[in-house]
Amino acid sequence: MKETSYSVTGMTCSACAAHVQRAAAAVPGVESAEVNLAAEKLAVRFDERLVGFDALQRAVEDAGYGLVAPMEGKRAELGIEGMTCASCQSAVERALKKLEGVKDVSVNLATNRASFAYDPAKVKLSEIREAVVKAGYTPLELKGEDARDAEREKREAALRAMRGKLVAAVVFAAPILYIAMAHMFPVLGLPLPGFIDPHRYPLAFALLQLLLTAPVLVAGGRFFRVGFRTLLKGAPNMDTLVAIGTGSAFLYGVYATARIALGDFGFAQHLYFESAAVVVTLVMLGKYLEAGSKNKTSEAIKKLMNLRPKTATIIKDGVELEVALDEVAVGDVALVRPGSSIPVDGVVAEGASSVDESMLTGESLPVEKQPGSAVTGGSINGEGLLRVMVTEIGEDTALSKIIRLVEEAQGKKAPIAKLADVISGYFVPAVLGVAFLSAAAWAVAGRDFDFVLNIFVTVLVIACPCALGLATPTAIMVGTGKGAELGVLIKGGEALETTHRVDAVVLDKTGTVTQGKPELTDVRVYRGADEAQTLALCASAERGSEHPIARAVVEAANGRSLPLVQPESFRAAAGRGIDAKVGGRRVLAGNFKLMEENGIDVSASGEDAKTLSGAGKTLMYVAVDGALAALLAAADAVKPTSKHAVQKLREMGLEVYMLTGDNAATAKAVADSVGISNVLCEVLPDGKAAEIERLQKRGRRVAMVGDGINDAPALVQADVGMAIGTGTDVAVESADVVLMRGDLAAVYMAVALSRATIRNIRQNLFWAFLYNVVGIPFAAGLFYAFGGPLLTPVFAGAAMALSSVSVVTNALRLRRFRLKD
Amino acid sequence: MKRLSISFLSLLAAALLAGCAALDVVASYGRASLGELLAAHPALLVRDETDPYMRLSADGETYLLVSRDFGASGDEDILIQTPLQPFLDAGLDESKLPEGYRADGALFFVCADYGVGTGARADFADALFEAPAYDPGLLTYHGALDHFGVALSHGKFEWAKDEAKNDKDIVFVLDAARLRGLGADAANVAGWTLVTMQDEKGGDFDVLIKAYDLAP
Repeated sequence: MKETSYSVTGMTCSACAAHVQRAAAAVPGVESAEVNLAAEKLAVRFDERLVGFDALQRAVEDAGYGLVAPMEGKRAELGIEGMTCASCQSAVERALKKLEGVKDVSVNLATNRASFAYDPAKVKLSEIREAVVKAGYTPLELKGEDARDAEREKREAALRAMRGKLVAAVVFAAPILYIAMAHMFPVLGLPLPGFIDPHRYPLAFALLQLLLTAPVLVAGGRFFRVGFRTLLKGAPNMDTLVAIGTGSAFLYGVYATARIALGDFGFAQHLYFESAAVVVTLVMLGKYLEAGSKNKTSEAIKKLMNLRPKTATIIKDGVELEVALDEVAVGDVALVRPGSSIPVDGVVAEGASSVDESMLTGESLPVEKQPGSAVTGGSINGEGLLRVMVTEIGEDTALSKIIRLVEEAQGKKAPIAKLADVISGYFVPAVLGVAFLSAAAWAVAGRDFDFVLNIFVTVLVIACPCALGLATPTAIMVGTGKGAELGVLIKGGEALETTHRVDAVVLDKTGTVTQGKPELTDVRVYRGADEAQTLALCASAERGSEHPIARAVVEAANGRSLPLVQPESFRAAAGRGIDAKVGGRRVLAGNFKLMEENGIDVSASGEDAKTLSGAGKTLMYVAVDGALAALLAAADAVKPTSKHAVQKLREMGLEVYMLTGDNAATAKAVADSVGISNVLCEVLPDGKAAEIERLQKRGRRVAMVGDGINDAPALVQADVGMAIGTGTDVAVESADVVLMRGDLAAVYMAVALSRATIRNIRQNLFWAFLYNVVGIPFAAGLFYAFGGPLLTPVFAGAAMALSSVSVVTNALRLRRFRLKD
Repeated sequence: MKRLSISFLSLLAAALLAGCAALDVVASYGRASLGELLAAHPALLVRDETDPYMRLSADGETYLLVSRDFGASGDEDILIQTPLQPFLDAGLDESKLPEGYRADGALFFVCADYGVGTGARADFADALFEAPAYDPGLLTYHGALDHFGVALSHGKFEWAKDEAKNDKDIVFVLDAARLRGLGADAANVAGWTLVTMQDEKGGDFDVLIKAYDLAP
């Protein structure tokens, strides 16, 4: 199964999105298809053996839209010096085409540039440059772009084209509006030139308006092309409404002009050209503002992408070389100067500095780095010079993963959006029905043709469902983008929607509430055991264990320079401890359960255990050759922000639980220190998911926050799984929300953001529905029938444009989201 | 898009400049409808080739006089002639008559000057249309009544666009406010009806009308 997303062109409203989705989902071999109107993307999951891009593209094109082929590899443009004639141009082309992984080569002699597509997995840029050199020419500066850059360029070019057409439409529509206002509202006293006085020169009056309207309709031609095409395919959309409405108004105007020319001067009072021109212009304005806002909603991704520098300084054979980022390989040593951006993920090999990771994690304080510290590409180096050993490049870097995650999240639909889709699918045909019925009703009631046409056109124009289709995706795009800025990565609309409904938060203790780096604080020996010897035995046994307590023991032993040996055997008992053989002696190290199961009498440590666990320390019993030898205690400090975070969560109305494998006394001590009264303790790793389920069965909507491998089942079981970003890949993969910051403040930030986003969506849906619910009966003349006012097509067009703009503007308010502390 | 805009603007300017005359449908239909009306009712015109004016009347009392040659008629190119007495009875002070009005014995004239014209005219409609030729704004079309009209200084002569569909085929119109200013009680001028009309800006104004239905 392949899961990917493609760009879709030609969609203008949610009815379009619904059609594309249906068309793609109907292709055999496609398991699921989801369209995000705001991002103009089709996310599709399909069996590659049964269907490929071509079949999907055909299906979408048959529905009347376009599917953009994924850009293979990257595109680049290389300046070339030394070309003087056509044969030089051919020579360079031949040289590039010979390289495996290079295609679509185009060399321009006039601009001295070669543009091409290349697959970074098959060919390096340095090899491309080398090929140019071998051909006898000099490669100059390189300008590269990948699929995202290309998409951004296309979007910006499309926006510029829209602006040009809009300006042209306004230039021609403004005088028509003036003429119409001067004519319809003589009380305004707006002067009209004598040669177009409708009473004296009705034909000139009409012809001028016709000639001014025509270029407006040409500028807005897209509505007519798409609208009638989709109507003919039996899938009318918002463009169909605009096309029929304004087209009817224009054609009637042409008819009226002809009648004036034949002597029926009364038709000068009922031309409707201004309706056609102004409505098309207003719809274009609404679409332009929408497109501009959509570009802004993806600003979060733009910002993230801009964190990536274009070049890196690597040290090769003692020489500093500045290379394109694509040229950096794993194992290279990159030099990062003070104040510059760290180019790729790596480990500090030499030097020390403080690094600003705020753009990635949202954490405002710089983090100290020294040899051995991991650094992330995109973060900013402080005052020290660093040499960084590169560990991840390209799409494997944390920044690339975050960008991908945010892009995917923005493409995924929230359940609340699906409701809008269902409604939109029926909306356009329903509106066409209402328009015809209202017009017919007024005609039967004896109204003249003018009035009936006014009703018909106004209903079509005001009933645009585009605001409805935009209400949810725009808010989700802005919300997830904002989250990314704050270090909260929400993996989709569904996760966003579920998070806001959470009423219980379960926090894993180690690594979530606490630092996750326990330190050995106490060693108590029994039965005459030697402290150093016992510790060395225990540390040797624990060398193979990843458990934080085990690591604390090993660190303490190393700190005392105790000799450690390789155990002859090692077995870990999950949730209990380890059973190993060291130097021929059997060593058991773990919790009370392990001792109990192995029949070890621990009564000698009773008092010590009570005292130490009462102080919130984690206990580890050590038995050697079947007898208790020592009791070790480790303290895992609580994160400084945990107490405040728990308080904020409770203020938000959430029940807070702490989940741990520790014994009750230790667990309670830690919980008390941070203000948590609900403690789930002595929970085995495979019991965590069951605890979550138990809470869910009590009617709770549970968010689980964890960071370890053993948290993964619980993260999946929870309604919302939140992984601390500093945690393991498995936890991050299993979670719905990734908290890039290592502290719990990110939890209440995630909940607050999700509530703000859902609130925003509800506001948008309210406004979108309000415009349509009130507008349609208004336009159909329902209020007029009871003495109320009558809407005209021009005002309907303005209201319709306003509805889209107000929804998108409201969504953009989320960019100002801030947590009140 | 620039090219499109420029082309349209040029086309627009060219069309308007070149086609102005052809666009004046009010003048062409007005002339045609007056011609049809006169052809259908030849008795409306008083035939006297020695008279420097061509005369139109439905009742032999109130006339529209149109000079055969505007160049020879001084400042009285078109006149409405009607009996003076009803106005005197209504209080008109003939000593105060300003330019555009004249009292001569038992007759009351409302006059208008339209320049020197373009030469002698033998046809009544041609002669009348010298006025809008002089000033296109003098020719009007009133949509509500479906009337064409030629404005005088203090009045108007109107005729129906389609007399078959109109009960007021020709109408003489006088400015009532002006007459009030000259002392006449506009509501009580015998033989004339006071009517309130609406102008293009939606304002009201009063006129005295004498309308004739020429249908047999």
